[in-house]
Amino acid sequence: MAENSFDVIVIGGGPGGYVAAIRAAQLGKTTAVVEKDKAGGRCLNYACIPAKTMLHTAEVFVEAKESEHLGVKVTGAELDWDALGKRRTEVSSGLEGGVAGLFKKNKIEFIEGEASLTDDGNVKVGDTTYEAGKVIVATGSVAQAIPGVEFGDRVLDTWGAWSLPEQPKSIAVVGAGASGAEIASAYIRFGTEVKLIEMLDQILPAEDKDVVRVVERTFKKQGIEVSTGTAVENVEAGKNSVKFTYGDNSAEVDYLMIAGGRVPDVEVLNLDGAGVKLEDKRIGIDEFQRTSNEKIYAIGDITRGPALAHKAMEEGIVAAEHAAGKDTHPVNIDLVPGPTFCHPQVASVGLTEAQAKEAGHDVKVGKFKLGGVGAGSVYEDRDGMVKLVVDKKYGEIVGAHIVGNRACDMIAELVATMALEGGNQELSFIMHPHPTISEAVLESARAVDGWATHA
Amino acid sequence: MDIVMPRLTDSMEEGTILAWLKQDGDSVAVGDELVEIETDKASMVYESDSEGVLKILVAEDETRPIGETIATVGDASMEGTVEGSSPEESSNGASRPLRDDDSGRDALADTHSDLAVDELAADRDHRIMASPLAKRVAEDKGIDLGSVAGSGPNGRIVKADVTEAATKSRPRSAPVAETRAPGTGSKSTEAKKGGVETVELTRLQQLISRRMSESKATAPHFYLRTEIDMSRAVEVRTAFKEAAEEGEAVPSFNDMVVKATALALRNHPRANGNYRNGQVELFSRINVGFAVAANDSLVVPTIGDADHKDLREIASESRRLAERVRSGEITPPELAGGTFSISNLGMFGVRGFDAVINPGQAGILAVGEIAERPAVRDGKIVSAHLMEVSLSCDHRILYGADGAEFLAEIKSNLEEPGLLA
Repeated sequence: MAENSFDVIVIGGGPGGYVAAIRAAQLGKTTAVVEKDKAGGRCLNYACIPAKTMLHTAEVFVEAKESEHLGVKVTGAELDWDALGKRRTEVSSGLEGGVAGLFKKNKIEFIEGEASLTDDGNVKVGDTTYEAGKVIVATGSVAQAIPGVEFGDRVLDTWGAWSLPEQPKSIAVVGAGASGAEIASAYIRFGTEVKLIEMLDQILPAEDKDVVRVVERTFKKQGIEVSTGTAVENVEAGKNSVKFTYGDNSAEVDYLMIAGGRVPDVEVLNLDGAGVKLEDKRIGIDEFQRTSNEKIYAIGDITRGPALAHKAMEEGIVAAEHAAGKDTHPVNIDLVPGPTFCHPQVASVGLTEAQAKEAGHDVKVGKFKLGGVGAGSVYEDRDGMVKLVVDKKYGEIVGAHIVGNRACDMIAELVATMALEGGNQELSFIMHPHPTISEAVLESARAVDGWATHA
Repeated sequence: MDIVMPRLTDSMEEGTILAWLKQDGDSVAVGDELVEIETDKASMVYESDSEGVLKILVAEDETRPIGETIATVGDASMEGTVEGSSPEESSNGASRPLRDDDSGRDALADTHSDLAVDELAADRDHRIMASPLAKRVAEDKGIDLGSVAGSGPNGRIVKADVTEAATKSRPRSAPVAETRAPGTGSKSTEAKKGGVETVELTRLQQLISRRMSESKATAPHFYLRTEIDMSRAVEVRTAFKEAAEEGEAVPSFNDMVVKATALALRNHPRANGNYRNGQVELFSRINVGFAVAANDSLVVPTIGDADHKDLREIASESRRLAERVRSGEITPPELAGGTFSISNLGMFGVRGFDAVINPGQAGILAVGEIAERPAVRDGKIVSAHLMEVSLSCDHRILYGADGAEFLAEIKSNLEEPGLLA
């Protein structure tokens, strides 16, 4: 094997790319990953992981201050912003080292630099061309500003929001999807004044209305100023603050944080030259992640579907297995769980009740409040809820929605149930450990047929 | 090492042990003929691929689904340890078809044994791996899960597979009789109609009955009939006969019909096509099958690329295939891949009839006897060798006018047989 020749070259070392590379290497393929920044990509270094580190501190901080009734008296709880920043960096760099270790263990070559495709479907990094049996493109996405606004010192993207050198007194978060809700939720608990502004008519626009109602109530109770159906305009970024208008109001905050959406990072790839076609601004793929150039696969944010790390990872597995000539099963894009790590957490998979009705399902719903199971009281997680959206005919679960402190862990069970095509009938007879919040899942399945035992 | 019931044809679901060619406890060597198995299309002899002591687990005349262990071959002292051997090993390794004179055969058998392994994984201990939802949909729609191919991991059946099966075919009853105790092939009972003798159908007869019902139930048949003047063909055949060397196959009228049809199929690709899942598949090769009656059953051996073969080649090939059918030696590849069929009952003195389309084809040509009958030519009554034919068409792919043009070309090819040779 020539030095610059690999069976599989993965462009991008994020969650999709590094998982694809490991899988290809496991299947005996000589594999390289090209990454222009750090192993682990944006998820690990600039997005998911740092965000969750910050959110965890927010949670611990609140617990420290508000646990007197639990029998824990804490005086003088303070936020140490520098220590928080240091831990955030340490967690990311620790995991980055972990990914680098996995590369080494699997004999995956890590090539630093910016890659592009050659016209004959090989990979060029700087002046070197690497010959590739198959290429997996996993370059991810970059933050998108809102019309008429540019990112700068006071107008930040999500990474800017998570990496501030000092704790701001006031912020406004534009866009109340998962990222925006998480930023707002962390900063309000840090003690910052937070405005959360969403153009659509509900926060967490992708989520089920019943779930959103619980979150919005909590957000307002925490002190977040929530505006929906409202556009942010007239943004004037000053040296020490940002002024803007929203609806009939105007405001001045330390930072304006934009969590408006992401666009695929494909500009430098030479897709045209390599015969890789875009569909609806993303790379078009078949069920096995193959692009219009059969030699080239694409996974993650640059393809259709939600920009989520776990979706990219599973697509990476499919692409790697297919590229290695192994029989594989396509990713079911209808079963990508959507987790939001605000407080309370929100997690869902499949259709909302409204979407299910629109899709023509004869819908019945099972809802169960977390306060109905013992653990809800023990862990002070009573306001949350599990909601199942079921098609009446066969009991097929077409959507599942959880709001509560452990929602993002709990949703995994419903993804599995749906993937294995269990109906609410099966779920109603599957034992759940007591006392746990997961019992609410069992009860919601029974609630579909009107026999929740603790309701 | 386990020897399992092998999968030998696409449609095979189970096989019957016709005869053990070695006794229980015999020592067998690699290459020894072990067992004769009747499949849905033919019967075959299997040879041992390993050496050791044969332990027979399934008696003669018993039927087992593919993948089920029928015997073990191993060291006598190792008895009891065979259970641990994996089904993958055994179904790929322990037995291999013998009497294999078709070179394409090995590859086919291998593919099938891989399939058998997949099915075995999905069907261990007769358990059909299907999702709860798939089971409910199947029950609701009356689909037999045993007849559904699973697309999930290890062949697990998911809802989409059942939904697809439901749209593709009407519900069907259990594929075949589940068990057949040895020696109970038929029984008699008293009834008003007198003594009743119940005759069990062979695999092949079961398959035929299923295919034919499926065809009539799903393919909208219509029939186009015409009469062909074979007088010139009779002359051509006589010439062939005179020119033939001793032992050389003389082309029969049926061979001429095969060739005339193959040439006409070239110009009518839809007649050489297939209606499948709401789409029409057109095939590049023209493979003409001809029905042959044998041993209480019916098989359709195929002459591949019949349009490229001359009459002598078709004649010798059809003769060889028909003999192999009658001797029971015909192998699945010789029965597969047909794109059009012909059924000829002329030799039984049948004047004309309509045939049932072989599922997966656009039509079938039913051919009657050639008889000297009066015909009118230029206003005068003359004697001619006339042959009635009927073309059954699947209206989903072959419409009236298309079928008529196709039939007209067959007719002119036979009435002007100069082009056939």
